[in-house]
Amino acid sequence: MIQIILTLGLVLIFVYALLQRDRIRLLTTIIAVSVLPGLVFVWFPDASTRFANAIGVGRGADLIFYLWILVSAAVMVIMHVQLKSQEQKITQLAREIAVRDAMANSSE
Amino acid sequence: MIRDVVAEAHAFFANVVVVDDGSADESANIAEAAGARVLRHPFNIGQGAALQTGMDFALASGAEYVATFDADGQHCIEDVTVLLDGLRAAQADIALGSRFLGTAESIPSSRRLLLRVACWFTRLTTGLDLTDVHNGIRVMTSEAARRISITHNRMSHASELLEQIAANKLNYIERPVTIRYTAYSLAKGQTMWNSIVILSELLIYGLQRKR
Repeated sequence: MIQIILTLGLVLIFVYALLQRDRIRLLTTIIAVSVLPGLVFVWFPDASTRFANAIGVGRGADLIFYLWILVSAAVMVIMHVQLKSQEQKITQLAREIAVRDAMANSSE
Repeated sequence: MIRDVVAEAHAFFANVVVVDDGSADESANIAEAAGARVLRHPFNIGQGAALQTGMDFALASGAEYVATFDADGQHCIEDVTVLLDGLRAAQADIALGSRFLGTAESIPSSRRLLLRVACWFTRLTTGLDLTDVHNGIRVMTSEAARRISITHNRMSHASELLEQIAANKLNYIERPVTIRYTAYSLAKGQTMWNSIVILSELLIYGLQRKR
């Protein structure tokens, strides 16, 4: 049961990421490359444990947890950069309004 | 307060531009009544953004020289003339005010130390050899103003401006100016906490640029 729920969730996120790929390419890439191994780990839990052991982590669940921290940190950075670029656009817009208003006043 | 600053500036220079960065009080109207052209940001964005807005307007209005001047009463308008004369005489692109070449009235020692560290940091990051790196009073040619584009909206814009002087290889000079440390200007000036904010802003913008 849990495997179906997780699969459904991962697939939905994957589809959403694909739809958004023109807007946030980096985010899409990160989601795509984390969903596919995610699916493998959901259906073959032993694989995650074997992989975890191979790179020096005791349990597969721990490995997933560590990876999750890494991915969410990366996503936060990307979101922050996006936010900053939005802020820059809003600034330019506000500046344009301020300058335009002042120019209009001076030509009256 | 803003009334006196604008009136004083207006007595020396015909074109005084004030950027109202989303003030909720009467500052904008007072500045306008005192003779300034007032540009109004529809909401608060930050000092760096306001500086760039003022420069854009000055350039769009055909200014030959652009001076920047903090409106908190810490600068003396005579110093703009000093900077302008220096700029012309040296045929430089930008003249920067320095309180350490001139007279800083009652500068607190903690602030003196902080500004020294800031100078050292600037030399390390931009290679500019300056005695004062967080001084709001500057005069530049329109050509220099066109080359400068401030994107750091909040506090780190002064450092960004210096970075752009270095990147554009602008000829810069420093001239002594007086800073008046009054209770009003002190409350608005750089503090230790602000310098931490500035450093983290520089770091964040630095990361962004490399994208």
